[in-house]
Amino acid sequence: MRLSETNKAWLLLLPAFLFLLLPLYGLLSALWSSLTVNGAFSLSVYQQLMERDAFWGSLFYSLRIAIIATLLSLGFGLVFTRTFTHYLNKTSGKLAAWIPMLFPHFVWGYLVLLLFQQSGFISYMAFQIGIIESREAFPILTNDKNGFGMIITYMGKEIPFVILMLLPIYAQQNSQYHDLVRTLGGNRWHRFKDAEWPWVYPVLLETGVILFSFIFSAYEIPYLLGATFPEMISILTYDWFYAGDWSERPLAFAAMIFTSVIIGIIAWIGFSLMNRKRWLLTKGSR
Amino acid sequence: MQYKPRMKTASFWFLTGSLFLFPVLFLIVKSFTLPWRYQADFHMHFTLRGWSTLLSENQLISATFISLLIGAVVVLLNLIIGLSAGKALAFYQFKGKSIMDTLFLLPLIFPLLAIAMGVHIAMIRLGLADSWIGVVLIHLVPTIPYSIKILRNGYVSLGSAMLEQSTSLGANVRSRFLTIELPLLKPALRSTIFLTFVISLSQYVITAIIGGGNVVTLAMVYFPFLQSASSTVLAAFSIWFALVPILFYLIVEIILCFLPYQSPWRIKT
Amino acid sequence: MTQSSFITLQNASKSFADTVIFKHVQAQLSKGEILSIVGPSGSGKTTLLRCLSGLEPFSAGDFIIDNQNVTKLTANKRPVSLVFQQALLFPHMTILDNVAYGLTFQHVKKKERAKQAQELIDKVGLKGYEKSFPHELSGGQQQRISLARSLAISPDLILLDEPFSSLDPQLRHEMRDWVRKLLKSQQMTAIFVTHDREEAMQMGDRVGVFNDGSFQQIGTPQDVYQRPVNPFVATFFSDCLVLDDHKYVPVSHLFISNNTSNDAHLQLEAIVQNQVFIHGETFYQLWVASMNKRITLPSSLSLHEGANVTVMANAEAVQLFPEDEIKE
Repeated sequence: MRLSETNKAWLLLLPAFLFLLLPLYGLLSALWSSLTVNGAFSLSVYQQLMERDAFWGSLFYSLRIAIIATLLSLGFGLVFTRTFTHYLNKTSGKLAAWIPMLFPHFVWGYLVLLLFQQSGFISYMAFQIGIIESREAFPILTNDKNGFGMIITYMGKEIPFVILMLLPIYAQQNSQYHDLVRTLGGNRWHRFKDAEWPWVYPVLLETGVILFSFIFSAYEIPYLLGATFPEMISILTYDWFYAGDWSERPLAFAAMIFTSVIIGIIAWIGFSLMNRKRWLLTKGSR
Repeated sequence: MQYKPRMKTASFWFLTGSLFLFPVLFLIVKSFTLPWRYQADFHMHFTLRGWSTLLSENQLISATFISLLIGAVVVLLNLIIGLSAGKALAFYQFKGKSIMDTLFLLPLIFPLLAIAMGVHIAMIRLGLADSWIGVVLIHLVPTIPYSIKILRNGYVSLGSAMLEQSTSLGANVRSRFLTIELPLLKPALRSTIFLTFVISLSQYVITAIIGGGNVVTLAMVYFPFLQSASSTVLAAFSIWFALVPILFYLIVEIILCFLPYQSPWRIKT
Repeated sequence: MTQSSFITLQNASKSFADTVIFKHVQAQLSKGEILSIVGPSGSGKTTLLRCLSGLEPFSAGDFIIDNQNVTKLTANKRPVSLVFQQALLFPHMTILDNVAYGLTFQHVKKKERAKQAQELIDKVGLKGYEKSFPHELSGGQQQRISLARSLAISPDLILLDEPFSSLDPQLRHEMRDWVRKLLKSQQMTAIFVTHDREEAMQMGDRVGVFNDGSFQQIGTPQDVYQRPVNPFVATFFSDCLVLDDHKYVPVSHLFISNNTSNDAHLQLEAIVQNQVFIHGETFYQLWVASMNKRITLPSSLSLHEGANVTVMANAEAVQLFPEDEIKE
């Protein structure tokens, strides 16, 4: 029997759909666990959650760290890629910029610890040169309240990721658009805005959504470099999940559902902006 | 364009050097030197103790093998799912295709912690918790979206006409896949395999939840080390984390050589 | 027609969802014959070719090769091979591997494969390139290898989809002649698709003018050019001034005059738009306002742009389209 083209497509997509069941089930089961108390539907878990100051503190703290780290990674990644496209396109440049991709996040986190903690390498060198007189004089940059250590770790790992996502666009960039804007009298800013931004913007948005969601809810880096107070939401959740008598497990699920909803809203805004832009771009191929 | 190329070259290498290369060099040096004493003068003491302690850690080798096994199975499943879905998204037109693009990105966006906690009970019921199969399954969540994306782009740049040409010359689906698709998708396959493996190797919390401490991957050994081991040993361990994907990559390259129409003595562009 | 032809297409139709691409297409080819299909872009000729090759299924109709119905055979099983617009050589294979590629599916032994492929490479004039990779060849060379690769599987029918369109004009002319000779020397039955009527005339033993999803007329180039059966063929393939749905005048029977005359049967007011020089003759492009048409005519008169002239023809020059048009 000869399959129709549409059926063939669905058949090819079948394994991917089967896979999607796993995260879908995970989320729904988490939602279910947060909405039932002793088998009956109830919102009491969320009521409890709202009353926890620790939850709100963690939520806003995580939001802040995630936004700062995402924006800085996107910004530096963008400037780096557009300034150094030529070098990044060569094998040596590519290899150099992608070295951090080789290491897990937590290894990069440990590295930041080695470099930036009070007894770390930078502090040690500053002491040897004579900038500081004792290690106590070195500012606390890891496990600190402001999340400096976490932000710097994420930047170290995510800037290469941003470069990876943006490089294809800059490498295939049609310079004729630049020339066109120039002949029409546009300055540097116009060239960026009209000949570059429309292509970069959708990818930047997509990358931003991925980074934000990841940083907002990742566990490993806060575990290594986070402060004891305030905690990132993932640490709080994990602690609740494994709290001795399991009485706080529903809270852990509720906290994650809450986090998912926030991520969902941000991703939805991001993707709808992105798809509109993409749709326009496909109309005029370059 | 604006400033001198030499300046630009210098600034590129200064930035990549200090941001990306120096940290790695630092780790390497660190793994061969004793921890520094703060109040003493600047000096470095060479030592092999870090590496010898690491390699004599009896969990290390078994954890490396488990990580390689889990990584390999995760990669294989990624290739199966990514190649088929990538092909469908690249070549077929159907309703809801743009929604599908977003749909396949979602596992990357929702908190892995939430998903792992959510499937945990089900995994226990299915007997998959505390087993490496369960860990493989949960590792699919942060990897599949990338694989679909990369392989889809690979198929798009390959183009459907190339495949039709092969069919027109008499190739059936299987031989076309082996002689045309796989060899020409090699760059995309490499990226997929490498990225998938590195991501799988990097998972601590979801491995801990689903594996329940019984599936001891490298990450599961590394975290307790953070509390106990010296910085020299940890630096060596950190480098080990980069060596394992490189080892895996080399194995993959050897396997890729067995694809049809590979002639390593000819350089192609 | 009593004599059975080598290739027969009966009542072939194709539609996607509710758009009809072509319907009730009929065609017959004898062994070793080359048919050119010429038509404007969007006429459905490329889809017809894809259906013949098996890459797309026909919606209805029968496709018979050498008394065997191949309609149900998939593209890889059909004794038909398709040469695309682009050479589409497999970039990871040597030229020899490329040409031998199709033979691997016919269970030909490796040595024999190499021998046959080498023969074809020699035949297309690229001896010495067998170990090269496609990117080392020029566009024209690549297209020749592509043709050799399709010939290698000894198909019963070879389909060529505007194979010269990506080449520059000079090369295109040389390739036409060369490809025709090669196909003839192999006694290959071929269908050649193009949108260029000159190319169609040059390549085909017969030409089929294709528009609106069906053949408007099939015949020798001379026949179709001199006796178009309907207004579309008359304007698209032939050089005619179509007067109405029933009457036309071949351009060769029209002449330009500065003044009006009582003798001429047909007289049309026209304005000179510009002049071009081809093959040593002067041609004027004229705008006939009353018919809303532009025609190009040779003339020895010296005319300037914007001049008002009269286009004339004698009564016997006016021809009628045959009543029994093959269309509809």
